[in-house]
Amino acid sequence: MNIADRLEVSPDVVAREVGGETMLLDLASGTYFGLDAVGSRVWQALEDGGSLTEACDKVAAEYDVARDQLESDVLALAGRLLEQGLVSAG
Amino acid sequence: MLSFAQQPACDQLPLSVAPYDRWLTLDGEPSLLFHRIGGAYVLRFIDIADFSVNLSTRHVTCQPVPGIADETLADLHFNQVLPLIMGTDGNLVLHASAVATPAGAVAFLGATGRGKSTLAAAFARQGSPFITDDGLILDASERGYLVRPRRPILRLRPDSEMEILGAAKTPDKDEATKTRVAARPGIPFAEAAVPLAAIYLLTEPGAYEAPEIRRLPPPEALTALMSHCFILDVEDKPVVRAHFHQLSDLAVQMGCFTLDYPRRYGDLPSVIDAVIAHANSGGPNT
Repeated sequence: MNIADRLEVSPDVVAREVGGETMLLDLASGTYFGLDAVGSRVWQALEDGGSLTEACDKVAAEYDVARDQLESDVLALAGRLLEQGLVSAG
Repeated sequence: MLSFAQQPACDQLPLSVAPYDRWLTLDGEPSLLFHRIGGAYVLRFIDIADFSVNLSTRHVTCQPVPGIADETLADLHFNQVLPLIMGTDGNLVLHASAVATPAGAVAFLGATGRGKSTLAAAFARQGSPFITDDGLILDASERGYLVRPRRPILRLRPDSEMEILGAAKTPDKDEATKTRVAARPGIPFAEAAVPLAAIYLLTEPGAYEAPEIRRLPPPEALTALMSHCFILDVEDKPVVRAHFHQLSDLAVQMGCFTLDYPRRYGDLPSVIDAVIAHANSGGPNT
């Protein structure tokens, strides 16, 4: 996976911000997932159709973090989302 | 409007399709199996009855196992089948009892056997009218969430009936079988809807020496509410999606608290005091 990739959010996933986290429910499996504040920004970017680069931009605008580290973290999160079937390669 | 018919008793024969969902007892044994057969939902309460629910015709058919009392069937219909049907109509229905306190309605959320009815009876005995024994219906309104009164009946195990209500000891009674207790002087029932003040989750009994109330983080509150919600078809994605949004709102607006306490009848007065003090103190809003 590349940082310029776009991922599509699964139509079976429903998301809501609850108490500072984003809760995801995969309707296909009935499984819940929680995303912290940074993960929530990434998720919002993906829901808006943005690339992982654009997701990094969104996080960088709010958090003081080294770009290399940020891209590494976003790629790791994207890998977990892909693995769980919550998103697919666009 | 629903129509209802009862068929002659018959042993439960194997069904043609596998269940798509099941409810388990606290011991992990299946108690209710959900099937879809020929456009209807067949709810198999194991060794008790099959209820066939046709949402298109709004008709429910009950076929009991031989020897099952009509009262048991009526309880299942009212406490389990109707709440499941109501959940398909956009209602929020929870596995919870509720009582009316000076702060408003407090709800006790929990699986069968966790103590919902016992707490409702203890509160009623102390003077807080019970609103429902189970199948709690929440209506969102301008005044917040309202708890709708259901029927003025509690279902209690014989030991609870004896310890809380002072019923005579009947050694031949099956401890696992609940008996009906109707509202009466000394066991008041709330006739009108009551604004919801707080939701308490009854968790697995632990080694507690005094009542303990803790706020659940909102994400955990949401998953607790989802797992205690009456949903007829957990594979009906639009219905589950709608419940997820409704319960997210509830988790954010009301929150949810765990209520742990020693499971001893003699400690119930201290549990009542702790819950009323917590609800009165604005605990739910802090």
